[in-house]
Amino acid sequence: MAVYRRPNRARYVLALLVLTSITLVTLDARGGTLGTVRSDARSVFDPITHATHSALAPIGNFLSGAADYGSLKKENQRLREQVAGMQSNASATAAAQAEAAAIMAQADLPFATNLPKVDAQVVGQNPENFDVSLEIDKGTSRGVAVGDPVVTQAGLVGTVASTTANGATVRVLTDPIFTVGVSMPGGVAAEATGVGPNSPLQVSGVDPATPVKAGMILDTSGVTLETFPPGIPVGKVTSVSTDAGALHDTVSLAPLINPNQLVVVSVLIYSGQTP
Amino acid sequence: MTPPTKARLRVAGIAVVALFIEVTFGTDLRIWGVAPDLLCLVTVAAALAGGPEQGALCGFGCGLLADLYLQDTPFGLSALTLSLVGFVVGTFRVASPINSKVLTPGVVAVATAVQVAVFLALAGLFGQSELAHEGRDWLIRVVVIESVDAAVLSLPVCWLLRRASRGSPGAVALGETQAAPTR
Repeated sequence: MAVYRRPNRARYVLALLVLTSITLVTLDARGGTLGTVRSDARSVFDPITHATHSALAPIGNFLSGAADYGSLKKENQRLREQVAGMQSNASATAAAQAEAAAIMAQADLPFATNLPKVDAQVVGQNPENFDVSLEIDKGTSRGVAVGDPVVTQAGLVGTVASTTANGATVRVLTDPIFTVGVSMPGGVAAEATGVGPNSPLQVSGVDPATPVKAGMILDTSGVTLETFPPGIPVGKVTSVSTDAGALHDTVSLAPLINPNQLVVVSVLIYSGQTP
Repeated sequence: MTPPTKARLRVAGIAVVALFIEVTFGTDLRIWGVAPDLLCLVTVAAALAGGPEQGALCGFGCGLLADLYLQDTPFGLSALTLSLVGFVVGTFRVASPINSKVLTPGVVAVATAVQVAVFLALAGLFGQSELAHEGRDWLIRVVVIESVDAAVLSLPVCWLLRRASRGSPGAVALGETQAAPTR
């Protein structure tokens, strides 16, 4: 009969792993070489995963459809009626046309017109539940750098969080550690912070005298040391609230983009010092 | 190559495949916006099949793989979380014979829920309290859906990890497999 005699060894192994983990966390927090390790490892993995995802997209779509069966059933019914009404024979090229339209729409951004930009295709989304990010197909080989703003014609998408030679990870503006300076009515600058993938950004510490109202679009402030150029639409004000006893208002700001529906984005080549 | 080494390589291979599936299909598998955590599931299954040492080692490896795909949290945080979860589940497995197909999904679901809580708690300790800012409803949704996903997938994954762990010292000690003959 086998008898388990190795609890002490397991404890030693755990202690070693815990110490190693804490060391890694500390090194990463101090800005060591671990960021490069992450980037290099992803450079190896990303082409494989992107190619596999593209090749097996029908299976992914099937699984996605199965997971969202209830809402898709209603959507399907609505689309069937729409298709019957339209009697269009262009369905075979619909996807290509939509993509081309998205690229064309990016050609002339209504803001930051003086900045060079790189158009990129969204090729993936981070599967983690506490990390809101997108994968795009342009990287350092096209001039994309960490910190560059990412936009669509509708407004701000986020910022480049990490890069590889031919790809980059975009931290979406709803990410909990995302912050951006926004210009409030009256010329006052405030800071909008992401809260999570399904929530509006929060602008806290707003002076109650500031004439901000629901429905207003707030742009990036672009003040000194700000990492975004001025004038990029960030979101639409959905509510202005004051907590009991608070001296300042909190503004909720709904993003103008839906990260789940992005096909093409533009990376603005912006160092933070560019006029 | 010795049977324990073969077992470790098989478990490592499953972890890599789990990462591959997660980064390839994870987004497509979202239910109400929540993706399954396959690496946590593999860690828990490895711990149930091979005890605390295998659970901790597998959790550490899976955590490092997960950390490669996370931007917001420090590198090593997932490794720390999953190695702790793997050790605790493995210790629980040694202490009580959870070798039942009825109990396994429940144990996996509870372990997954605990893993989410431990991850957020450790993230807070390391200055990443923003992760919990989404609010209680979102956290509850993540915990519930991840746990249900894990419970649904637990039986095939646990079966796979039991087979992969054959010949490892932990699996032998737990009576999952016979010890390799000595020469």
